[in-house]
Amino acid sequence: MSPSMSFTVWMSGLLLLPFGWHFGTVFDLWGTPPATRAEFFIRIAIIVVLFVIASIVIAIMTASRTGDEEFEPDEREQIIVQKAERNGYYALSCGLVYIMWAVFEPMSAMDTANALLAIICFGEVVKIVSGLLYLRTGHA
Amino acid sequence: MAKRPPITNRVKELREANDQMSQSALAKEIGVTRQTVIAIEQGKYSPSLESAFRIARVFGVGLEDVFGWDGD
Repeated sequence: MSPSMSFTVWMSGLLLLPFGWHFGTVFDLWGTPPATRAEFFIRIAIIVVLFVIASIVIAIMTASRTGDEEFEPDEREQIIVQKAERNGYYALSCGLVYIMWAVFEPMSAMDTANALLAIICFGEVVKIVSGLLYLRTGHA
Repeated sequence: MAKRPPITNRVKELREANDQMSQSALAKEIGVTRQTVIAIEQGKYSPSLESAFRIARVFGVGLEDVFGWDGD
């Protein structure tokens, strides 16, 4: 696996951790869930900003160790990334259809926001898992 | 299960005939990862035309000496 591919997989996995923590608070497993729109968006914004900063720092560190050419994914990995993103997009689409169906039932705004966030995370999980599967099996 | 492309190759054979060249060394020569060389050798992945030419150049042979068509 090229450094770029490892970076993509690890960063996607890393992004899911804080969202996993967030959903833990929503399901009362730990911590306090956001109660208002402001709290919800501040939490999401903090996660996204920290993720962007971490991505930049790790990308610079990885690229400086490997060099620009070695950092780039090779042709097979590029195809795998495209196929994995397509699968993630399918999962996201199915999730959105489910949300459209679900919003006709009584559902709070916070539940709808969390459901949309969960669908985005689900799409990301499908992308990572299918990408790793394609890498593992050797097919592209 | 993904369908295998109908392209055969002699990459492993040529690599071994070429001073037991390692998969990593070949990968470095043609600018791909070792996993991609493994996938090519196993017939699971057909390289791009550019990589195919690079592989042929590394072994100093023609394209059809490395790759063959196994389809209809």
